[in-house]
Amino acid sequence: MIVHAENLVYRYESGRGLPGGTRLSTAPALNGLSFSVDSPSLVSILGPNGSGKSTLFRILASMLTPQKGKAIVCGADLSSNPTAVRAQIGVVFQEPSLDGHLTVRENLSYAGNLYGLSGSHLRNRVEAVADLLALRQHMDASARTLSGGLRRRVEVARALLHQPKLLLLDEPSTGLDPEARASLWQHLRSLHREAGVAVLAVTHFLDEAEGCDRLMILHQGKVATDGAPATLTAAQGGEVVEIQTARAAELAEILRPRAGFHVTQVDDVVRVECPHGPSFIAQVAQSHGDWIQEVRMRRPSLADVYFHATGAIVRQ
Amino acid sequence: MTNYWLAVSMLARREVLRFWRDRSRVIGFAGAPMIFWLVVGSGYSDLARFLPGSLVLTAMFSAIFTSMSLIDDRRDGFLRCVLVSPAPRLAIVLGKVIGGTALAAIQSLAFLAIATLGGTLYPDANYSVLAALMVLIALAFTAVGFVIAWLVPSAQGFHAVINLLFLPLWMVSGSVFRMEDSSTWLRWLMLANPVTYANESITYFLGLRADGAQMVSPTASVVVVAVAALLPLIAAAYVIQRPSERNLS
Repeated sequence: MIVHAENLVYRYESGRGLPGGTRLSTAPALNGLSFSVDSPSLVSILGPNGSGKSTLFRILASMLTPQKGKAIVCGADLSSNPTAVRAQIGVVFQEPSLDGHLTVRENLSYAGNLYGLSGSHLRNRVEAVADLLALRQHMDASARTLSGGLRRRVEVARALLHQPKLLLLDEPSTGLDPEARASLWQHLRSLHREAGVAVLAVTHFLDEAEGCDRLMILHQGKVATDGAPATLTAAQGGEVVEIQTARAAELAEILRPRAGFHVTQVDDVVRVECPHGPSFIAQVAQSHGDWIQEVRMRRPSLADVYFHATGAIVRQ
Repeated sequence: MTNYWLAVSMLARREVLRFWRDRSRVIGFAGAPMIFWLVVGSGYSDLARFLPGSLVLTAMFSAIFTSMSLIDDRRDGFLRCVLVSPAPRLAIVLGKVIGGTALAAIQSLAFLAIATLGGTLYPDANYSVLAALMVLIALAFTAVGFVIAWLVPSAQGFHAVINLLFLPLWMVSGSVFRMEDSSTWLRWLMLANPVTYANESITYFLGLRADGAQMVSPTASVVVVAVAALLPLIAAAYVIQRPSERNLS
């Protein structure tokens, strides 16, 4: 068992210090969230802003203590024994966190000290992670001179120094160009494959999630959908038909009562999930043909799975 | 236990290394007390009179400067990495405070060496006690700085608190005007001010006061300075244990 989270609740105290002692009652960031990761797999966590994914990351990384529920990470309870958890997880933050005053090697060996590594063992580990993330020729460069992609790789290397069982990443692609992003994920996948490290990555890129073993979509502080990307898309079934029309709201109202259809409208597009696309298009063409400007039909993608779970459109 | 001291020594070494790589800024900062001493001391034609206060000011300025590194660490994300590591919270306090104390003490001692021409100028001075005293004073200021930097999230806020707290404490410590020349209410204020005892003890161990001429006993002064160093250290150990949303971003 790598992670076992049960009924996690967390609410930020954003109203603290307001005049008159009033407290803003904020919606809980996590609202009874539960999930488990049994075997070392590559798991991505998606969700719209405010869905609780960053809060979940912070709790699993031992930076916040849940107000309710419990979380067991790598066999230790996060609330009662965070130190045991910390020794077994590697954490990569969304924001850069290297010390710009130090070289790459210094950044790595100083971090190793925090995890109880020293002497020749530390030197070996620093070399090993440098090889793993292809950093060897940058070891004596000052951290502040590195490109965004390289910095991120140093941060991943640092998180792996103490050979953690679980690697936690919070939107690791933030600020990376497409090439650096692809290379980072290649490294993450090979890490998981070759070193057997479980990887839990918060992301907002569906293509990153597509390459993972498992995808968890959060919505309003709970797990809305959870499964292998291929399984989730297959389970979505049928077809997605998108009709572009100037009278989108009207058309959506007309189509909505039909059984077995899932109808939504965004701007001038009516989006219909239906069991059989071609026959549906034929029907609409007959009844409302003169309204239609454009019709598109496709098999459901992860974007549709995401949309179905959260009601939010993915803009890539 | 080894892991514990490994974390402490790493944080302390890092503090010194960062100082070394950024020394122009730091020396500029810690050089101000020396200028104060030269200008005001020469102005009153009494360099010795203003030396203790200037030494305290050096320790204070460099301690403030190193405490600010905690705010940098929070901003740069380094603090988060330390907080998610298994390093004990107390080791984090000790590492940062020991590193900061070492830097503040080294700068004060360098100033002392220059101002006394390598210890030749004041024949009655007890330099080994003075050195220990400077370390203790540096520790006190660094620990207070740590607590303030931990509690105040921004660099601006940190400076505001420092200006409001440290400078007035230093001004009513006998550094600028003597306790025996002050009015009664000011004298009471001075007696309640821990910085006064730092100033008094340096004055005494520099041999600038004859026995019996001091307002408070030298032993009492050293004890007050030690307590003033210990209390903020305990406070620092306490505040770092409390989880805070402030350290998230």
